[in-house]
Amino acid sequence: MLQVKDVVKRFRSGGEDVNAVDGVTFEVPAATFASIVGSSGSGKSTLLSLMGALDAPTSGSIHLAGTEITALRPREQVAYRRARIGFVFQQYNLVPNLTAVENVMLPLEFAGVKAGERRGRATELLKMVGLSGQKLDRLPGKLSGGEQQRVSIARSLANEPELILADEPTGNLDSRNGKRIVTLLRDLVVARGTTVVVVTHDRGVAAKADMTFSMRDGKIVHTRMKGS
Amino acid sequence: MSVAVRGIRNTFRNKIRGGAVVLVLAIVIGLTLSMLVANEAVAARLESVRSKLDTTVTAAPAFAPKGEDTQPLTADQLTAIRGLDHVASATGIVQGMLEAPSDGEDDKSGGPRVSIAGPSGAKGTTNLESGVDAAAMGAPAGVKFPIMVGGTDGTVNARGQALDITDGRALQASDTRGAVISDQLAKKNGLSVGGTFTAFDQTFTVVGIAASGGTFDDVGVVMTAETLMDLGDQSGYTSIVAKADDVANLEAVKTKIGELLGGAVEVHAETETALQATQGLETVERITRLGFLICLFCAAVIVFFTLALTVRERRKEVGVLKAIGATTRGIVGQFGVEAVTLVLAATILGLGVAALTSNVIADVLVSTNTPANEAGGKMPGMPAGAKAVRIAGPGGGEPESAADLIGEVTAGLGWDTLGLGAATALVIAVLGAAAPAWLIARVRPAEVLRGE
Repeated sequence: MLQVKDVVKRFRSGGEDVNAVDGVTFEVPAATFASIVGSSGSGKSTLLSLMGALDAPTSGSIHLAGTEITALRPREQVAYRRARIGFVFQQYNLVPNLTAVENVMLPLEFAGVKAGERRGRATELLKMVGLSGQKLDRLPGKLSGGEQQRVSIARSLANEPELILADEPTGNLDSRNGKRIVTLLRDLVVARGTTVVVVTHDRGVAAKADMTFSMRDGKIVHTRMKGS
Repeated sequence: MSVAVRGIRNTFRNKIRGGAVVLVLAIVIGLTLSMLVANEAVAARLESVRSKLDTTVTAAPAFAPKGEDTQPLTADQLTAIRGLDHVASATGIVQGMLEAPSDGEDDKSGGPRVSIAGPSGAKGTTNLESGVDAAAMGAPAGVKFPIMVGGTDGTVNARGQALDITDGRALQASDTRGAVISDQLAKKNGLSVGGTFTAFDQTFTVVGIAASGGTFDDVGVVMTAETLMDLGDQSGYTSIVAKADDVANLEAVKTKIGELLGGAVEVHAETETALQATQGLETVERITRLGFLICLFCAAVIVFFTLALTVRERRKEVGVLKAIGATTRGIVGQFGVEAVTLVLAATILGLGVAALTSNVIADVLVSTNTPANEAGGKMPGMPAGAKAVRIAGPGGGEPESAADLIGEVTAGLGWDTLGLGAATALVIAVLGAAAPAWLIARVRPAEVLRGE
């Protein structure tokens, strides 16, 4: 379970304090597909960074399956991200001079998986997200946007994380590819029991989620459970 | 894929820029190595020249006014000179001449005779014939040359020059009737070690034979100073020959001995030769050392800015790598590999540049910083870049130029240079990668990804 409790993130901007995240509290049960929606500047991406231990909150706490990630030291945060979190970005953020399979092998290398095992596992993951054959050895620049995002998802799954945090995963895709990616993420929840939190502008994506949190001015202004 | 392989691939991610950086870096590293090689070659030559330079300081009584006798140097003065700073050794020398008896049985040939010159010194008769070839000296046929006799500590001749014993042994203090003779004398008189001859009406045994050292025979007969003083009726030393511990201290030793002995004694040393020969090389050594450091700094700056630019360009990639679990140390390691790859590739090309330029640089620097020939040209047979000034050689020997002493400085590339090149490359890579590593450590993934 992901628990976010009274989290505040304050920035200094233009000589004034700005509360990007302002006292947010919510819970996401394990194996849930959750979405956070809101307009630009509402604080949803900042909240995602805090949940991913990429940034530290000004106050409040975040727990993942009993671990208070906000209390971790920097080195522990790196280990936490490597083992328990997967990131999917709007711009894919693949390393441009590495092939699809090499990009997926990266987190395995960081986790200390033996060199001989990495390629096999990366190939399996890419196959699972629908990529195989010659595309595995193509550089990101030779893949379509949808294919790159699939590689990005395969990379996020490399170390079998408990939580996948996706920031606008369909933002750069056409509607057909966007739907495929959402379906793929949704399937992960069902097939692997992974918790997926997606930050999105897209109401269509949010509609597929089990839970949706609406943010405005750094606060959760509305929570919707699927079927409610 | 390992960090190393990824680092190598990243170096040439942009082939044109990577190639251009390697090319520029290769030129700078080549010049760095050239300076290093030239510096080593010049330093080695400087050491060699210093070891060849004569560090002798000779003190001898000045000419006395007409009608007065010159006062010989004393054992107390010798002891005082030995106690001076930077004096490695000092030897008291008694000089004299031997000639065949003017008449009697020993005057075998009866030809014209060159008389013994000089107002002082031991004079005596001998049954030896001079080994000097009169014809070679341009003297009339049948002329008899006197034989120089030196009373020393047995290690040097009458001029204070080290004896080169080719047979037998050096003279010892206990050899009161022993002598070292030149090979010219030995040959002329059919003597070998253990043979005997007469001098000052005494019988001497040959204990050693030394190389003559010149057409004029620099050795002659060498016996102990005490023996020659006794037999030649001398009350002191004709001269004292001191050795400075280093060429750099020659002038100071000369001055101190002059101060110690006063105005009645003339003190002589070839300081001009030493200065001319070493100062130019010292200048070149300094220039090449400075050049090496400047080139090394430039190479490090190139690597620094190249990597700093790369890190800035790939800041987002660094942030993503951190986000997906890479440690700062791991990413710094990857950029370190990129730096080393860049520098090693440049070093390999740079070795070629160094091979082409090191000799030229050494040659130009040596030729522009060593003494010029008085006539403005090269001496016959002199190597490129070496110019000559003819000045009197040490100990009154043949004239010797600073340029002759310097000779040719050859800067060559060998295994040592390759090792130095690798070490230099490593230093450049480490220096150049230090700041980019700092930049990497400061990249915060949240800030980088927020900009999406």
